[in-house]
Amino acid sequence: MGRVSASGVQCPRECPNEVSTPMQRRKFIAGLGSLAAAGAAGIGTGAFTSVQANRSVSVSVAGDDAALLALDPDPDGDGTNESENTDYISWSGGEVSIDIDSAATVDGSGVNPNSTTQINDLFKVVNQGTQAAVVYVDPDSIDSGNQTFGGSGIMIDPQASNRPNGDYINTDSLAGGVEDDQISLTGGYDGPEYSAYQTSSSSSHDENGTDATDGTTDDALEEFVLEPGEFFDFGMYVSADDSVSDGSSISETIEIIADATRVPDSYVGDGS
Amino acid sequence: MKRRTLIAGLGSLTVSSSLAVGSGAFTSVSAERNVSVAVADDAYAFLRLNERGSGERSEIDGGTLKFNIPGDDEDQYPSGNPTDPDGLGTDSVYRFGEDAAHDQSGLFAVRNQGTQPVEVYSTQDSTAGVPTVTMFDVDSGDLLTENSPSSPLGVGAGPLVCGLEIDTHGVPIQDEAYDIELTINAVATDGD
Repeated sequence: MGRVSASGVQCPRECPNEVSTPMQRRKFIAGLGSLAAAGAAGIGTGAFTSVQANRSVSVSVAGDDAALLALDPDPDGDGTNESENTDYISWSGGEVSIDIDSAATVDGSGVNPNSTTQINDLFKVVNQGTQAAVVYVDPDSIDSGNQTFGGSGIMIDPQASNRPNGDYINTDSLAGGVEDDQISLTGGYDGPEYSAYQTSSSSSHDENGTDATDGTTDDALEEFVLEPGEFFDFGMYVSADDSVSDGSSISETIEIIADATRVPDSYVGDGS
Repeated sequence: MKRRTLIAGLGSLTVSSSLAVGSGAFTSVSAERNVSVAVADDAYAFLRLNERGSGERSEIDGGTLKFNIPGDDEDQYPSGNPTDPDGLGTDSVYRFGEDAAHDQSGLFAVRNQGTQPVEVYSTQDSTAGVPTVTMFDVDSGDLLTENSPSSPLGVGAGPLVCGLEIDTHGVPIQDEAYDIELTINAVATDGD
């Protein structure tokens, strides 16, 4: 587990380093009161040019499977992966990598040329913090030439399915294998918009994800919310067009973001 | 005293909940992770597609499986007395369950080299004015469509041996071959 603490904060049970009695604390509060009074009088008896106060901050770094934003195929920790497609991931220094190539522990060594491949449920994205957060992938972290919108050759788009929140249900006859609640984690646009999986480019969505042509409602961000303890399946959509030949490959670094400040004010739980 | 008890109770609650879901709030987290993707020849991909038999009705060309009906080498078969046909008749339904040489059953084979059992079927985006092509299971004779796909093809299981059914009803005769894109779909059976 990641942990951030600063000494001097009120500890839930007991503070081993800083023992403070109720009396001392009361004195301290009184002292503050006097200082404020002096300041109000404009005398500035308590003036200082600078103060340096050292406080300790301890930070622990955990592997992806145990971090605040966990990327974990086995969220219940029983040693058996809940995710179906862990053969396509590997671990190095606690970081997960997605290997849709010969590094995958399967007989195949890549996707077919001129094909679309979806590998859902590579691992779960788990919110192990204490606040709800909007979880998405920064579309700009994928090279524009490798984005499914506007790219060519080998194109990728991270997906979320089996999501706990929002009310999106796919009713279109999309490609086989697309799950009913599956959405693009990049939105295909700039940020986590209402980006239920799309097969064609669309520029008709505004910043709230409202589609000008089909009137999709703008409760976009609710689809991306994970509350503490909740998780969804992380998957990858891969498109290889007819311009690529066998042996081609790409390597991308995608940026997975969980942002509590983007949870919409309108969000009230499951959103359904 | 009661108040202190209550605080202690809250403290314990906090501790137990942090055991369950982790400790500490975060405002935002971003993590960069690597994704690598390779494109493999159809014969080595997660969904393995192989040509079957000689005659080049089916062939792996440039890494992808292609079909030519009649086959590129159709003029060599039957051996010794080749027929060298020009094409399919119109308003007909043909089934091609083997290549021209009839040396192996099936026109092509599908093997699952991924991680999950898949159901296999073909689709064709546009059938307007062109022959309708559907894959079928050579062993059972069943057409493999979205509504009626193959039975689940297990990882590493024996290949699904397939042929193509071609329907030319309403398709005019022309010198130039029709260029058709057939999509072969393999969908995991458990929805993940």
